[in-house]
Amino acid sequence: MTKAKIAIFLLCFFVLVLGPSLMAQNHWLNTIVWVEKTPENVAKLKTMWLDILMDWQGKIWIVASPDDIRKLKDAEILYSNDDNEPDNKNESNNDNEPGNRLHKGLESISAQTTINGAFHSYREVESEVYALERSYPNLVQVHIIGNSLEMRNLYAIKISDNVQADEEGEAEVLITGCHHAREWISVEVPLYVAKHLAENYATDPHIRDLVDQAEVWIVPLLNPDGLEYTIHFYRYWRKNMRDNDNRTYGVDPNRNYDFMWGNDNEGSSAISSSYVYRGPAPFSEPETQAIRDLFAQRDFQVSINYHNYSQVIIYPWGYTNEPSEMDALLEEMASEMAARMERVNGRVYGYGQAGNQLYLTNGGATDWALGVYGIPAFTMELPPVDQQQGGFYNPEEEIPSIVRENIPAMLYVIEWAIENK
Amino acid sequence: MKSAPPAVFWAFSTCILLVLIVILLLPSSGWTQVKIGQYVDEASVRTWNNIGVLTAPAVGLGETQFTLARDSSVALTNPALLSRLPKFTASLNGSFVRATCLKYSLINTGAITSTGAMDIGIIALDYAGASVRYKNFTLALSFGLLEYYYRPGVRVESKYEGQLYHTLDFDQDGALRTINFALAYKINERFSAGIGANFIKGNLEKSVDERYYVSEVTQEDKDSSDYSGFYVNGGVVYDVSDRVTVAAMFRTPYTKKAVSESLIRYESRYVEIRTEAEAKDNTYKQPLVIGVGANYKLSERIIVASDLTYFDWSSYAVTYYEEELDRDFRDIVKVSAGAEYWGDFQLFGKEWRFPLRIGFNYDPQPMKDPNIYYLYLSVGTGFRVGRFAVDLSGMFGKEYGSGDSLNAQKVVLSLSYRI
Repeated sequence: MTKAKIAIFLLCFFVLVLGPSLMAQNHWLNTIVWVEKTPENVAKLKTMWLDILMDWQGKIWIVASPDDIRKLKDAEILYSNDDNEPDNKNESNNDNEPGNRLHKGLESISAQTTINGAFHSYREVESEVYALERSYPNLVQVHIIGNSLEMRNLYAIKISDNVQADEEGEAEVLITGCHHAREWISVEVPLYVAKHLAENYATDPHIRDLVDQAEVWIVPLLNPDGLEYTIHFYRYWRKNMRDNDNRTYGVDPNRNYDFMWGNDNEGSSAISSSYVYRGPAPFSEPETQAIRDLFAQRDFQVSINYHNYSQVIIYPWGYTNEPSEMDALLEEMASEMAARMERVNGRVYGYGQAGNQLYLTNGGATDWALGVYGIPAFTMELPPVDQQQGGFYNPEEEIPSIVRENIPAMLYVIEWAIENK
Repeated sequence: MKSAPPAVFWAFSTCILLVLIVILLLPSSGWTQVKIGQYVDEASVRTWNNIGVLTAPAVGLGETQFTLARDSSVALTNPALLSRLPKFTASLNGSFVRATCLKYSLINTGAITSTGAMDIGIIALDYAGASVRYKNFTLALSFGLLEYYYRPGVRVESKYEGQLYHTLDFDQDGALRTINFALAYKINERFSAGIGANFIKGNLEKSVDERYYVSEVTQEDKDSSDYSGFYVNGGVVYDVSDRVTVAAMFRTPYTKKAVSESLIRYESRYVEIRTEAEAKDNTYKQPLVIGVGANYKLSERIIVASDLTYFDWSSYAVTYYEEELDRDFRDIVKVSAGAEYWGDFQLFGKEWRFPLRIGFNYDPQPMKDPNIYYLYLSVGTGFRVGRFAVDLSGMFGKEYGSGDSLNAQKVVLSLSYRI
């Protein structure tokens, strides 16, 4: 009996001492992740018996073990963690697994090195576009369409099958970002659209079909000088960095296009210190000249310009509150885009004619595309809705949800261009 | 009778002239957009070309530092000169530096425009040190303030019908300090060598605070960096004759490392959005410095001295949050020259000696664009009585090349005790 007691004692001892340490080891592998609180996700999570930490600000926070992470991937639930570092433990290396692919897509947009956090700086955009080209040489081609005033390259990404060739008959779409320096999120969305098209071409038949029939041109960062100024000097800067020779700097690129340029001093300003200074002449700025020249070389069917904020989709005319002749079509397209975007996260985007929705503008890129080339053109004003919700500032953790909800809208735009070529 | 140049010569010369005219008339490429010039964030006040600390004797002599041992601050420039100091010295140095700047950070680069150049004024105790000589060896310990990163603070206020609705505040401050341990050895009566180890520490803090009072919105942008680094300086000094002394010094290139934090914050009634970043390995690659100097004793009372200092600024590189910042610098040579006269008089039963100094220096700055330099004139005086020495000097400089007509002044008071 004594031996049995000793055996039982030792067994209890090991269980009590080593057991917790083993559990602790297991606990050390846990990580805290969050998922978007969408109806779809909530329904899936209810069946998964996860350790829900809290439900806060539209996100569900979960204490997830490696097994839980696998469950999330299997269920195609997109998740993220605060430091955006991929948890490589126990992860499958199969990129074709839906969870892996989607997760990889979300995290691959994060910059995370410079002082603007997860938002991309000029160098990071440069690095990303060339990395994308190297990874997908048959789908992605990087063009330098001009130089900024401070001699930074203006990059355009062309995405198409047989990208080296200029294939006649393919629909062409242009998507731009960051006319205005302080609108950091407006770089992320076009950049992610480019990555999404390239990365999902091989596995998503719909995307392959669109890319095969279209040429998508993306200029994610039109105002690199201004962007760098917002990162290193003044976050609220809007214009480019033109030295106006009178101790003021900057021209508003989105008042510099040659359609209704200088139509009045409400939609733009002739005063060089103004944030909406239109410049000394239409297309006086190398940044807008690059877009002008790109349009002249190509045959775009649709033009999209990303900005923030206001969470609205607006279309010409901006210089007047009179509707354009294409108003009905523009409204229909905007409505469709807004509907598709809402289905992703539930975020509602308003839409309407620019001159009626926000304020009058003249010399803008969107009016110019319709006015000169007669094509549907849209300004996508990304979240938030107003200054009280953040204005030109977006939390880094919202980048994935904002970029994801724009994908269906951009795919729709490409579809429309193909159907109406 | 000389023959006229052949027609080919005239044709060739005309072509060259036409090419030169065309080049001169070519429009500029737009390189001169927002080039801050001298005062990028990490630039020290007044000049980039800092080695050691300028005490009053050196300032009075146009910043010549390599051949004349007046106090233990030589440990920071040419430590070989320590062997020429008395057995024991202790020195204190205070400076008043004033400089004007036009473009820095968001001032006069886009966001904020001032009506003229801004004034920087700094008063600091910038050197304390002591040296001890034993046989042929001299040891020195020095504390020096090498660089100042202060910028004039700015407050912008916007009012509507007398009501304040918007403010923007900018501030920047910081400094770089060194602790130097130096050793000199007197090889023989004419020749000495010395070496110093420098441990540097510093910081820089910058903030932009913007508020909209009606909408209750605050935007903040804060950056801070803690600097550290190590470099070696050394030199030799040689008496060529009773009248002529020559010297050479060096400062090794080194990397000033920075651990930095950044916060961009937005706050309204309903949200607070923070973008935070941290970098543990920001680097500022500092240049190699090589200097040579000479002095000549015109008489027992009069000495003239001159230094040439080469800064390898073309190797300067800044990596900030994993990105290389645009710092297009060139190598420069700084020229310093001065003259010193020693007089004496009797007062209160003691012999008082006094120097009168005059100096000049040409101080080119390393930026390629704009290509600028400062010209300084300096004067100085002081007295020696017993074991005490007091020196007072001032230098007055003007900047050329940027078109901004900047200027700089420095007034320095040095106190020494020597046995």
